[in-house]
Amino acid sequence: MKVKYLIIGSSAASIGAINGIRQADKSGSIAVIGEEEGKAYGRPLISYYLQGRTTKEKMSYMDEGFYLRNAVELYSGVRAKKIDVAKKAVKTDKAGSIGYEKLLVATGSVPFVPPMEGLDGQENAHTFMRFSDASAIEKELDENSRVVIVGGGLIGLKAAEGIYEHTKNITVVELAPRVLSTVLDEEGSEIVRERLEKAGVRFELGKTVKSVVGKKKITSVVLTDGLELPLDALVLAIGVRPNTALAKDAGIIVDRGIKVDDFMRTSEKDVFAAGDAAQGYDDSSEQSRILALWVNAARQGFTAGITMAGAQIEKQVFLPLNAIGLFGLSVATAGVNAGEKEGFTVRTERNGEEYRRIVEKDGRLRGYVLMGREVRGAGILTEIIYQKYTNAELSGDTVHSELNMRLMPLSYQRAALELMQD
Amino acid sequence: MKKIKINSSLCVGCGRCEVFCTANHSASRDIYKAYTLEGLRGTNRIHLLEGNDGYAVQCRQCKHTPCVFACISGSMHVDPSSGAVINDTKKCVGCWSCIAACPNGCVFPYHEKDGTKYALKCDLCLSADGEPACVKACPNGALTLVEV
Ligand SMILES: Cc1cc2nc3c(=O)[nH]c(=O)nc-3n(C[C@H](O)[C@H](O)[C@H](O)COP(=O)(O)OP(=O)(O)OC[C@H]3O[C@@H](n4cnc5c(N)ncnc54)[C@H](O)[C@@H]3O)c2cc1C
Repeated sequence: MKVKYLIIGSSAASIGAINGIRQADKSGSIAVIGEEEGKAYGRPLISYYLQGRTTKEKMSYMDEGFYLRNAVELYSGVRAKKIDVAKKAVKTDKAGSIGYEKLLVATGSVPFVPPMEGLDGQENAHTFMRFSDASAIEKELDENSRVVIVGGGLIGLKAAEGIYEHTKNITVVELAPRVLSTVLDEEGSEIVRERLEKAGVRFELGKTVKSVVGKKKITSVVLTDGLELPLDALVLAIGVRPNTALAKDAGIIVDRGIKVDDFMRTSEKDVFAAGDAAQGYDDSSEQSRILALWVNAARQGFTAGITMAGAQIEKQVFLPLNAIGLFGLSVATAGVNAGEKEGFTVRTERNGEEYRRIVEKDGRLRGYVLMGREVRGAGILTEIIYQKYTNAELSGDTVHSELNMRLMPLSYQRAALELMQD
Repeated sequence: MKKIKINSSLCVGCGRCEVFCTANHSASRDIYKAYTLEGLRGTNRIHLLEGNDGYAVQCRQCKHTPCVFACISGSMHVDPSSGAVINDTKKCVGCWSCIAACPNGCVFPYHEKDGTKYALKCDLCLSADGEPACVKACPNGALTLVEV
């Protein structure tokens, strides 16, 4: 068996790549190997599923006809075991060996679980990465369940929101002194934590789990300060690691993630990587790093797809960009999350839970935090970062102005209105 | 594909486009019923930006579709037949990733009375299969439907 384009992984980056390939090559054969059962789904939706805000059917990312329309052979429930770059083939567990002309490694993230005494083989310990995790957790919970979530980042807090629909008895344990510390400043973190606390979620900050108690089933965890928390279910959401083992074994250069250039090419000819597994360039921090977010996985995949098909795409700008709803509070963040200590200028405006934090350097926007008002117009700020506009070029002020097109330079407004963009 | 071109110097700021947009996306397609019975005030997908030289603007249908790439649910999509970017509000979970990605501030949050959330954006009135209501309603020719 041999195909023109082979993709390992069936999620955001994979879908992006299929769209990219088909934009440039309408007929070359495409095969996708995906370890999880079924079609690609919106991974971030697993918390919404727990909450009852979506269904398994609706979570399917693309429409019913997508794979057929694009002539994609999907090997779902199949695991890639080895990449042989010399033979240009991938060995699988259930579908034999599949040859390729161009290969995309889109293997995503795996949950990071630090060593904890007594954790091995426990039935009621879960990670929160896959649909199967959410459905296992769902089956275990009733309204009296006590749940401990380890990790107060994006995934941990989204898990809390999903679980809250089943039981209100939730404690989040986080090693950092505050929640969402990678994307929010202190004030922003506080607003989020207070919102969750008001709903009854408890926090143990600046600590983590030292050991777990119980055989086959955990009955409690002991924290680093000695506090013991009894529980019925443990959710491990400390963080994610790029899933790079396959690439590394094949001799492809891996730093933290699989190293890629601006067009998602790895160190190996005809092998590309995209998404959470790849380490590309973050234009906002001007560093090579992993941007483990859906939009980047999708756009990196698309960039890879176009390039794999031999077509040209201009160099894309990538930066962290995320919107997240938590217990009714909307938060959008983009670009750098830094402050005066790191040499940035910070301007903020706050009115209760409505919060705008503007991070600047050399008179231009580098990053922001926006909360409340359903983050109306947040994309205007995102675009100002992408366009590298200086404050002097803008028609308003990034802290005080309404966030709509009127904040943009007049030349931008005219181009947008008269359809001269793109 | 077809897109709506805006001549801001012709906009008189009357807001008719907002009203007809709301009505054309209602079940009744009737202004009185849409606002008074269906309670759809605030569901317009075109918005008048204030100021003496203000203008009304809706989704620019950008080719690089930042909202589609940002969508975590797959609801925001390029309609294969028309090429227009459309949000499937039944599939949307209201995470607002599209709002954080839209370079023109033209995707809007909406809550139904029962708390269901989804993003609203211009669909070129494809859901009402006709000429965009805003274009028809504009009394001064500020909005025109053009083939690009
Ligand atoms: C609970 C949760 C909430 C999130 N919320 C948000 C959010 O709100 N916004 C946001 O931007 N991002 C969010 N993310 C992150 C986002 O989901 C990821 O950035 C995105 O899914 C990355 O896509 P990917 O294609 O790189 O890989 P992944 O989605 O990680 O998928 C990789 C796939 O490859 C498969 N695979 C791996 N190895 C093999 C192999 N050897 N053979 C076959 N298949 C293999 C895996 O089974 C998996 O299905 C969230 C993540 C989680 C877990």
